[in-house]
Amino acid sequence: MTAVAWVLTVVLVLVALAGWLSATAQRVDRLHRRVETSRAALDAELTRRASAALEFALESSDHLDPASALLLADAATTSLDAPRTPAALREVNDADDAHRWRVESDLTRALAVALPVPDGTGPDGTGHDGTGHDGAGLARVLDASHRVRLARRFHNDAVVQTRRLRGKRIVRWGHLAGRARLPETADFLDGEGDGTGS
Amino acid sequence: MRIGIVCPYSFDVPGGVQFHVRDLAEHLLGLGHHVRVLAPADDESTLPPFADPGGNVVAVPYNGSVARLSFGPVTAGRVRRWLAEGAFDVLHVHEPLSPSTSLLALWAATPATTGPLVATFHTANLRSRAMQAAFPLLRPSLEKISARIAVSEDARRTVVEHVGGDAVVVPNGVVTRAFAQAPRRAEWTGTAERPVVAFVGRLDEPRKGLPLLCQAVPLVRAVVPGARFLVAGRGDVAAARELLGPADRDAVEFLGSVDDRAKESLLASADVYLAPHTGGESFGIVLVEAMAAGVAVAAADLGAFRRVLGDGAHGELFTVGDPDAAARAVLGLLADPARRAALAAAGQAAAARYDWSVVAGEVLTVYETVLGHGRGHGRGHARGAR
Repeated sequence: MTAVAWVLTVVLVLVALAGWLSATAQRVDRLHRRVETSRAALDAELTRRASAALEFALESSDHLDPASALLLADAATTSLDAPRTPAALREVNDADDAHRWRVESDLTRALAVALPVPDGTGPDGTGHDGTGHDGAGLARVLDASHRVRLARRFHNDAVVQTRRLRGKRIVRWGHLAGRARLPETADFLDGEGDGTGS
Repeated sequence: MRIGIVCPYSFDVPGGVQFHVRDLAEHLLGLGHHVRVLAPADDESTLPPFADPGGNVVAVPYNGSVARLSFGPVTAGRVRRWLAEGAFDVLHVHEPLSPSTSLLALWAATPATTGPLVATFHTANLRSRAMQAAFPLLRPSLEKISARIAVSEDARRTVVEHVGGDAVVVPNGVVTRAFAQAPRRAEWTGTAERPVVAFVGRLDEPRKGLPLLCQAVPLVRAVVPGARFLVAGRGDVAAARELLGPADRDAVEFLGSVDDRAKESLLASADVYLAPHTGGESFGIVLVEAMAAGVAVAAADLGAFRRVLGDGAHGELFTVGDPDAAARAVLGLLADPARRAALAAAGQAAAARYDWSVVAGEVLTVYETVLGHGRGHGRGHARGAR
């Protein structure tokens, strides 16, 4: 009787362990997918920002001095040259990413210098109204920059949660993450700057 | 875009989260999106036409007040069916940690049934012990959220500290036009001898500041004997009167629970709006409403209020919990009509930032960001650039 009870206990413990492992594996998998999706979204928004910036640099010569226009166009083109197809993104390593984020920071800085200062800055930079001086182009750049900030935050959120879960012993010992790359946060200037303090 | 919104609190009781969900849904519908709202309710009778009942409502003391929630297996089943039938592109869950339809929706959501999850955190006080104990159980559900929104800097700080990770701030919205165009009512409009100070808030929640207001009444009346105080809000009026000295009882008029029209008119008619809150405020929507109505605001110097009032540029701030300071702020405004007018104008301009037309657009931008490029039918797709 006691032997049967022991066996039953062991079986129950094993079943519980298996359930826990599989639930955790599912969580890891879900987070990996979230990171992939948010990274794709971030890349899409970065592409939009770069094209909007390039367009603005080339078409609004009456609002930009030639030096700013050239710098902006250069930064935007460099950003557009980065690999960004899903297949290419799967191949990138951390060094590629570090280079990429440098390029995006450069574009953010170029935009900060080149753009006319938006008045009525809301806490998240959407207080602009883009009316008056050549609305459309400028509004597009500002809107794209705002979306980059959102996408970067959502992506980093997913990365932080994934790294947290992958740091757990059960995930490491159980090899629940498979051979997926440990995601890194996207660390680049997005124009939010020190806006948290004000 | 097909948008599903989950509200954790019953619509039959007025509350900030419910109003937020209702106004957001109406504005998204106005922009041409398909919107369904799920909220605790026994049947459709008490719900707006765009909402579906989420199951039987139970009154539960939660987070300092009595909340009307839905939970249990019946609700869980309804939530799951609602998600399956809705086939939403985006699921937007409000107050995801409240033990009601929101948490159940989060729990039931799978990539197969719903698109990306967006969650809005409204509250700035999450520090319940039950929550801390249950947090490991909630974490897997929270990991499903693709985008977190906080309605204020304070709500965002709560997310960072208690939930981990980050959130973007999209403030609460106000239909500013309704307040700006509200007709004044003669019986609520002040005169030079009898100026009107207004207050809107629950009577029985001390953090809303009614006790402080009652302490400030004699101090204000010592200088301006004719000052009238109009108090709108649900609660026990008899108990609230007890807070006043016998001499002041006639100076304070309790209007009880007022409807939206009355609230708009009250704010538009008053000379000063007094916000004597002592804490626990995450955003201060009533301040934005007062600003939109064009009344000069005197508010406790809480973090949320200071931000809405632009560090005092759009209203007078006074030390939290200090009736003398509150009375001084009110008296200062009553004595200076020019300053009152200047603050009212500045406030009205600042309130435009919180208009629903702006705020709903920002929420939509969040949806579009998590959906990735080129999906949905948002305004971002009018641009032909490929």
